Amino acid sequence: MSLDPLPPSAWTRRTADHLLSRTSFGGTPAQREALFQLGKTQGIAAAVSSIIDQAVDWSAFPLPTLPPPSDLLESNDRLEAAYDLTEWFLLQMKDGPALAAKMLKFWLDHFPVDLDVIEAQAGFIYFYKHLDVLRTLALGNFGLLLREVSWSEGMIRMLDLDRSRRGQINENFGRELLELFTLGVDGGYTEQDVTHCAEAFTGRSLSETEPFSAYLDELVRGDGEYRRIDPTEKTFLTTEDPANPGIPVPGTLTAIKDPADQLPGDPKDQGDMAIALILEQVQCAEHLGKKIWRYFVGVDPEASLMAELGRQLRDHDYEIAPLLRTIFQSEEFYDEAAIGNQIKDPVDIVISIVKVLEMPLLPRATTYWAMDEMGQNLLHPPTIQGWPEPVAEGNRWMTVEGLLSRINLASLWVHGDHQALRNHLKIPTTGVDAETPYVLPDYETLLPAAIRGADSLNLLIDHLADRVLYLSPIHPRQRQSLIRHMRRKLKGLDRDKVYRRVLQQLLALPQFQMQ
Amino acid sequence: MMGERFFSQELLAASNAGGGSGPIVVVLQLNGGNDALNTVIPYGSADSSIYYGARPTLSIAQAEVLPLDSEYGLHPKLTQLKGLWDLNQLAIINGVGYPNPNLSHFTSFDYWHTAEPNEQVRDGWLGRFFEHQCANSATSLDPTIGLNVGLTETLAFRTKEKSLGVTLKDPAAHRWYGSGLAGEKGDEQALYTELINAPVGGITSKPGLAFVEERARNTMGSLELLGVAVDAQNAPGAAFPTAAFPDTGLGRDLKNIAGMIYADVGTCVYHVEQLGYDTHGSQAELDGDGKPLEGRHAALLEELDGALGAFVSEMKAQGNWDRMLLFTVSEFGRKVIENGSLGTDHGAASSLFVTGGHVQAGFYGQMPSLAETNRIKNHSLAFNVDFRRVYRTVLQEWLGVPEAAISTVLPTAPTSGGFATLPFIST
Repeated sequence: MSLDPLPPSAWTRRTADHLLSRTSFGGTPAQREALFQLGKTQGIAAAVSSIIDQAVDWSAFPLPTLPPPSDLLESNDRLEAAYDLTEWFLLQMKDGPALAAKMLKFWLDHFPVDLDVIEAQAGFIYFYKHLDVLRTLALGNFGLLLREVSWSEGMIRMLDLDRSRRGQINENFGRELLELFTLGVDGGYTEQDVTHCAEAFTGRSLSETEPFSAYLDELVRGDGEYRRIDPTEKTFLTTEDPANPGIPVPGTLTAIKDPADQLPGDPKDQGDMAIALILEQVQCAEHLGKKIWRYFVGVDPEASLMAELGRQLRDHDYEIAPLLRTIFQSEEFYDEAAIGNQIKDPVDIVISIVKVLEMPLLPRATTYWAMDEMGQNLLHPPTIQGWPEPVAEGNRWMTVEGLLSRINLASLWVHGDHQALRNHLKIPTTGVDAETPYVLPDYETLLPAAIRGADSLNLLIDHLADRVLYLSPIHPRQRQSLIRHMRRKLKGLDRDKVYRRVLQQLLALPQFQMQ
Repeated sequence: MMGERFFSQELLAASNAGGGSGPIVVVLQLNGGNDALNTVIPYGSADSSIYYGARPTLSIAQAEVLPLDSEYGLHPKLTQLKGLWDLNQLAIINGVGYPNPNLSHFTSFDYWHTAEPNEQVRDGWLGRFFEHQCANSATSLDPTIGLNVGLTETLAFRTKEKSLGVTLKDPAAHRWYGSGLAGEKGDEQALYTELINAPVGGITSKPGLAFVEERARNTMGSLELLGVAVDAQNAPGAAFPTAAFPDTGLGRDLKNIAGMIYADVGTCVYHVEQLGYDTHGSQAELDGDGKPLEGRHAALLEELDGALGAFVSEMKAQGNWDRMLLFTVSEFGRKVIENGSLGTDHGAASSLFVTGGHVQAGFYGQMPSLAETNRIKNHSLAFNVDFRRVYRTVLQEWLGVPEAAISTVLPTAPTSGGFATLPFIST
């Protein structure tokens, strides 16, 4: 495995479809054709650039003004707020800059917060702020993102950082920062590193009044008593000895001086120092490189490729966009074995449905409960490790319940019986959602007039199958079965129901679970 | 262990074929690392002063503990477990762990699931049991092999190639809804089943797609079986449930398991989990009297106790108590000392509970020494019972795996403390 670029002669409609599918949740026939033509006429770099260099502009999705936490005491109010937050997130997946949206999903899985853990009332404020950090830096600098996340109110609360104090350390953040967010469980850190890491981040606090922000506690109280921060010098990981390059020596988190002795520019806590030392470790770049490769390619990179990904990340100072550009221009990314071989997560399912069928999202409550049923409630990750991994075999999304929930959702969605869908999902009755219109696929858009009018079911099925299953085509015998069945059904069902039945079956097929 | 095995291999095979007489094992996983020291409390042991000294805020006072004997007692929320102890129906195994303990949730759980600590192994102990010892394990995703009640699959059920058994959360919700059009459901389901069973004529699907295709086939297959089971529970005149299961997460899950047992699905191994034991912060809250008897850990133990108590009652009422063996596992215990946030951080050795119709009650293993000089990994407890001994006991003494075949399920014997079974199962 290497990162050598894809030669121009290897650029085909299939490679264009694959790129669109993995970076942008898929697209319509027109979008697929446009990307292919761009690559063919102006080169692969231009095709990739059209995706990577879209402005990361979220201004169409402003942070909403949230009610004060005291207004979110009733569970009904919190549920409505949960619907809004989930819909806000998914609208960005659907209509925001596509690659940045895919990376926002990646970062939420990498830096998960759970609304129940971070406290249900100010928790919404924390959650929106957390997402805002992740989306702003989605294609930006990982080092900066890491520092911002260590100040994210949601993350501080999620991993008990606000409750850790000198002499009585809570190790949760210190451990997961090393184990999950940066070096990986075999990343060469010791139990003592975990403790020192936790100590380095003492002092981060959450204000209990407007605007509910994170702040750094004072080192010393007015009466001279030390508060929560552990300011002592600590060893941490390793660093390069300037006198002997190539020889690692223990890293140091230098002591924080008393306020009276501090000079302008002196550090006030050791968190940034700890992060700087973490970023120096090869394992940090390799662990992140591996996760990114796995996310977009769907397999784990071999050791030499992982080393190369890590090297590139460090050469670019942990900027994400240059690494992605290299990946999407590489021959390895377009290996036929990888195409159509990744299982979609529930967000991928929902967004790929709305994109290929050119539909709006379902109403907010329905969307929220459908995501929950499929196992990806965005506000409640299963663990601090996030959601199941985006590799194919043994994929934990594909329990029998997981698959059945996707099939049931797609079936009910395209048939348009909103009440049946709400009953199936057991949605609690609230006032707002019942009024939201429920929009069916527009068959005028999906099917050209010639096909709609024609007596030929073959054309209809082929046309819908190409739109929906272009990467993992329908098998010939499946096609025959479908045609035979629909021909029989046309005698009893009206044509409109036949379209829906075909779509229902296509969206239920295993092929649609793949990207 | 002298005398006859209680359940022979023949009975086990009969059980898998859908008979109502074979042994049942329920593995109840406490996710997050249960704080065993506040669950089985050394209120009166030689180490009690160390316990109270190390946990000035979190420790449970002697007056609050439910005494098991003069040294150890249960957390006050565990009233039903205490009742089982008084009936000689509860075994408690102390000091359970493994060498060179790993304090990462995910890694440590992997070791418990694979029964291969400190190895990079990708198959689970129950997966190996199903593969080598169960009659119809050739059919993967057959709920009669094993049922994991949860949202994600467990490594414990995996073989090297695939997952065995079925994972689902709510059998009653396991239905095909289709379009919702009246009278069309059967037709849609039949068409879909036909599509996914269509031979692909020499075109081999890629591994990822092939995996989903197999899932789809097994989903449609299990739909029917589980539908029958749920109907049996809800049929007019059905005597289920007899016990009053609490409406909590674990209460519902154990009720679903009890329902599958009632409906005679034939599954012999159930796996279920209770989430939330990673109590780094706010493990306890002070109650009205200023005692640390409420809060996250107390709520979890209360849920555990209520659900377990109802499950036990239900098994007795169904006449299935003698077939039943349930034991808890957790990926590790927690440190002796409390931390700065009214909580505890990851530890090592832990205690586990075993109950069932043929459980020999009492304490097994040693409660580890709490003395600072004996702590490992930064204030964690040292183990003295390798968890593989617990598994071996269940496999050999309950599920009837011949001693000579144990290595197919537990390939690597512990290197310290021996590998002997523990006598907590009586015949």
